[in-house]
Amino acid sequence: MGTNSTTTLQSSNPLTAILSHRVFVLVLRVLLGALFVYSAAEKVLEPEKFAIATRAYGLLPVSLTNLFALVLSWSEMLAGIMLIFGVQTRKAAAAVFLLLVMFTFAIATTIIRGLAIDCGCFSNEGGAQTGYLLILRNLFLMAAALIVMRFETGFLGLSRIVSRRAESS
Amino acid sequence: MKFVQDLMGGILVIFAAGVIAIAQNAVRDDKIPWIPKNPASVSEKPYTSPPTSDSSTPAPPAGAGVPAGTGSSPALLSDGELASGQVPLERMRELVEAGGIVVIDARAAGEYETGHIAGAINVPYEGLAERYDWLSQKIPLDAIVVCYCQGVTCDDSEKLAQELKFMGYKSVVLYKGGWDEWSQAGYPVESSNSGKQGG
Repeated sequence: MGTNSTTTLQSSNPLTAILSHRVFVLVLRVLLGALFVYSAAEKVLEPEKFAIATRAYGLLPVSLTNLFALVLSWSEMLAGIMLIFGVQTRKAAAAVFLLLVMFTFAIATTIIRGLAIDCGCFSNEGGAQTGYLLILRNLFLMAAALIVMRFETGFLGLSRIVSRRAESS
Repeated sequence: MKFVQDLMGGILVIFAAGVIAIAQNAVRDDKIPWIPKNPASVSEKPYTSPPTSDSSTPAPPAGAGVPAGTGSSPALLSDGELASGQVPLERMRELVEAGGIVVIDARAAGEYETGHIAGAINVPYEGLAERYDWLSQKIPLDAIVVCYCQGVTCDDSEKLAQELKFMGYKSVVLYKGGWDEWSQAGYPVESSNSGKQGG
């Protein structure tokens, strides 16, 4: 009964109906996951380069940058894989959201400080320079992560498939 | 409340990724140090002059190892040279003689001390991380920077140039001929007694 009333409420607003549609959330979650896996791949393979890109921001003590780069690249990778396969999807989307908040903060500080550095966003080299457009892009991605967190139903996700099989056996 | 719970879950995911990252770096062949290495050349020859507060200052203080007038003549390099990212021997000589550029020797400190292009500063590629602050304080982002290493077969200058570009330096080119070609041509050189080391 509660589920039905929620569905009715959501469907009454066309935008909410689209945003909460399980196929829309599935596409969003896979795209977001793929984007993060893609952006993490080169960083995981060449952590030294990413550590250098991290140092260019000048926000952390140099002694912490290698460890930070390692953890950050694997956070992107793990959260991305979890999103693609639908494993603990809401938690993965939350991790993506938190990472994006951090990236956006870091980029904003470079604008305030007048630094023109490579953002180190999607690869270690030849990426975009930090700027307002990157912040705008991150805001869109953060919105996508929030939508996945809010409307994720487990549709075609490994977590749900596994739990259903466990229930049926 | 669910949102906060999910955020806590997100933190757990990041924590788990940290465990994977540490485990993976511990077993991989090309592991990176947990703490960036501080090469011997840095600890032995630290840069001691007081840093300038304004990174856009075109003329650094005497002893900084950076040529006076640095960063004030972006027209020194043609668009073609910037696009190709390289300068040949004779052009390199013109640039060194004209001044107003930063020549960076990307080789190890020992090689630099033995001999280097006149006026060049030493920023070994391997020790770049420790020189970030020094570089950003002493060399403005609009400076013309020419990197070189031993010769055509080495790639430290190329990697250094790439990373300087990451840092935001707009006009970075390579002198591929490097120390071998320059010294054989008999063009101006210095040894460690007269040169300065960045860092």
